[in-house]
Amino acid sequence: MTQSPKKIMIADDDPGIVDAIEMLLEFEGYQVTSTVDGATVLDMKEELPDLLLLDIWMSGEDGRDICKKLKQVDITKNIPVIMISASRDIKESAMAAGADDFLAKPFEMNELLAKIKSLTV
Amino acid sequence: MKNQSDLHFMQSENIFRTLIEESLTPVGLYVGDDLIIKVANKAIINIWGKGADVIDKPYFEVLPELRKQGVYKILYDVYNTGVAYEATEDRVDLVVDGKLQIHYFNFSFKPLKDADGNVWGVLNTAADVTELARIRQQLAESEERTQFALNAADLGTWDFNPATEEIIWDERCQELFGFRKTDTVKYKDALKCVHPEDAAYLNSKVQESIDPKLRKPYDIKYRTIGIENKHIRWLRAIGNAKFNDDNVCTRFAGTVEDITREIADQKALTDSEHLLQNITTAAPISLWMWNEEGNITYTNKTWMEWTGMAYEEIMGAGWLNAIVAEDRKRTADKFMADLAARRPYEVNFRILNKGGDIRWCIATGNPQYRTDGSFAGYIGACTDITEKTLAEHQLQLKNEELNDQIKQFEFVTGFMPVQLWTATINGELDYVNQRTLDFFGVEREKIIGPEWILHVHPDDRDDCAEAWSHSLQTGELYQFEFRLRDKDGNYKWHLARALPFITDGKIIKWFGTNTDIDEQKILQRQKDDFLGIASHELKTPVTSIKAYAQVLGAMLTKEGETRKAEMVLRMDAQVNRLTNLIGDLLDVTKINSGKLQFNKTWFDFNNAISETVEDLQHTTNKHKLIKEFTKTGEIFSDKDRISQVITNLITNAIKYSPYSDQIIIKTKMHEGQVMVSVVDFGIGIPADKTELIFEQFYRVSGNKEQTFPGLGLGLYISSEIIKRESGKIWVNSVEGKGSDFCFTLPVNNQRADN
Repeated sequence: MTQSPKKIMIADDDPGIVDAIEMLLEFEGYQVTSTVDGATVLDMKEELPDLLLLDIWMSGEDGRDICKKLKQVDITKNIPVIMISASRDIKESAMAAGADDFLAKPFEMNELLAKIKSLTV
Repeated sequence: MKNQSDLHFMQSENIFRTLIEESLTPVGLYVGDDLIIKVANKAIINIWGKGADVIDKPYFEVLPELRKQGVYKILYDVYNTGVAYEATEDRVDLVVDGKLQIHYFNFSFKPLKDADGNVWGVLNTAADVTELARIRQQLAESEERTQFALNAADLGTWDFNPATEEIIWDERCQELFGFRKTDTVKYKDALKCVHPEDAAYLNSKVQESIDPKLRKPYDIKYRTIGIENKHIRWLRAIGNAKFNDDNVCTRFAGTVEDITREIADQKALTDSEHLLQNITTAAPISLWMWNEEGNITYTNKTWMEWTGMAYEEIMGAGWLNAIVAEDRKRTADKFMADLAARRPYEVNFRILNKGGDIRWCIATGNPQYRTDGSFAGYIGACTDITEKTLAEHQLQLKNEELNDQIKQFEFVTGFMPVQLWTATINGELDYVNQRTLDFFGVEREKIIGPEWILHVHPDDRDDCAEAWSHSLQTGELYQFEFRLRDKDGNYKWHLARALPFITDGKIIKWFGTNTDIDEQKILQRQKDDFLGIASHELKTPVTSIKAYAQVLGAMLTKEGETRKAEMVLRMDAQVNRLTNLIGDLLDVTKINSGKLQFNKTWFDFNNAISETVEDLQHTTNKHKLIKEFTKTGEIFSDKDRISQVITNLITNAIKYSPYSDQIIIKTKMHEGQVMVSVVDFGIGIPADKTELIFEQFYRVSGNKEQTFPGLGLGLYISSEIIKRESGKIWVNSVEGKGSDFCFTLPVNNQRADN
């Protein structure tokens, strides 16, 4: 436990999701930041997270576009991205946009934790 | 000797000389070996054509021409033998007037003998019968000619003597009766030759003819049978009886003629006429012959049978009486007009038959001409066309009725919001209603035929054509939803439905409708959109709830509150149920909008089924899920979707078998496809519901004690998934015993879906 806690960023326009997952991840010992505005993700310069949970359907923004842009920028392109959507049918397009993994809502929390763990080793 | 002879002569001479001299009978006396003419009266000298100087001259000197004739020998024979000779109508040729002429004589040479029996002279008497002989000869010749004529005419003659009952007849006659030529025949024997059936008739006719009171003419036909050859002949006999002043028949004579052939010919003719009559009678056609004036002179039996009229009543213009009053004058006028113009006629009319029913007839005929070209009348036929007429009449009525119905139909369909059409068995439109034309904004000609498909949205065209040709081939209901381009170029959703019109087991036509379902489609899309959004929106809070529950559960576990943690776990299970319900709704919206997606990969089929079964085993303590797997290998499909189907089937099996504790899941290869079957021992499904259960929102409606939760979507989604993967799903079920849900899937279904 000498290691500092992993930093997870949650980007979802639904405050309920953000709140619940934040609580869950913090309970699991992660350091969590969140935003309900997808556009702010791209403004990240410092304090970069170790992993990004990115919702695809966000009002005004398509998570896949954000993901693509992140993956084009040098300082953010190595941040693992797990995309989350209510529709499992768009998994392929999410992966195509550069996501490292995909979760369909509603998902089992253990599943989420397993994916985060494997991407932040 | 000479002196004695002279003496005898002298004694008689005076007495007889004058007597002999004047006798009209020729007399001559020739004496001595030289046959010296001692007496020759005038009559004999006349015959000889000589003078009185013949006396005392030798006979053959006077008549040298006789030396070479028979008479020479005869005369000397008489003189030498003393045997008298008498001749009747012997021919003797005498030179008269310097010419040798034929004479016939009845003559006698009588020897004159002395006391010792020696012949001393020959007495010659003669009668010139030349004339008689000639007449007789002429008679014979004439008879011969008659006979010849009779023979030529094959006529035999007979002559019956009523007194003797004997018949004298000629050879021919005998031949006809079959007697031998030499027989003399009694009437009663002749009767024996007559055919038994004709004998009495013949006899009665003979008796009537020879009866002086009746004196009937005799002209009869009868048959004879040959005595020896048993040959049957038909004879015609004509005869006349002759009566004397005492009114007694003295003679009955006549001719007889062989008419066997005529009778045979006549019989043949009668037979063929009979045959013709039979044929014409059997034919339902009345045949006529009319003379030049248009009067009927012949008809076959048919008209009589139709009308009950007698033959005589039909003759002339009588036939018209059978025609119903309204048609009579027209028929007669038409016929007479055609007759006057000598043209073929054809006229329709109705007759009253003998049963009092009206029959429709058509009469036709053609003018006939004799060999010399003169007009002979008409030969015609009349046919009963009642059935045909009635059928045509009915057809016409039917057509009118049909036309009325079509008009009504068009009127009704005209303001109904339905495009109505009919199509040929080749699938080409042959009728559309006004509504259709209004919708497309085209002329009827542009839509009739195979062109209609061009009005279908390009994306729908192929599937539409496929569905339509499938129905055309199978005769199954055609039902298809497509977008049709209206006159403004906008596509509107329509539901096309068509059924074949079948007559006598054969498809005649297709009747179809296109119903505007655009608004429904919009509403449906709105519904699907709503469901999609709603279920998507529902998922977000569910996800949050799950997260909170998990955190809460973990916290409580950490704090040692295991009971509370357990409750949170149950809450999570309920959230999962909610998640599944939301998932089902979402799937239905996807199916309805054609957006159900498949992420296909190769996977081991049995492993996938096994994983699902094991996951589900955790959800039930009561039921034991028994796996009976046989080798299946890998298949190319959407593992999650297949798992979803298995889940649906097993959860249903659990749900609907509350009183049993076993579910059997079997897998195997079947005809190159994988096959899964989920067997339960539950309430089962009524036979009439086994098809319905795969329909959207169908739910098993149990009685009050047995209500089962659920939206009724699981089997519908499952069946859609299997169908989309080109598999088949079905159920075998016995109500009260349990169900066996099965599905098959191709191992490698490469159909491009997405």
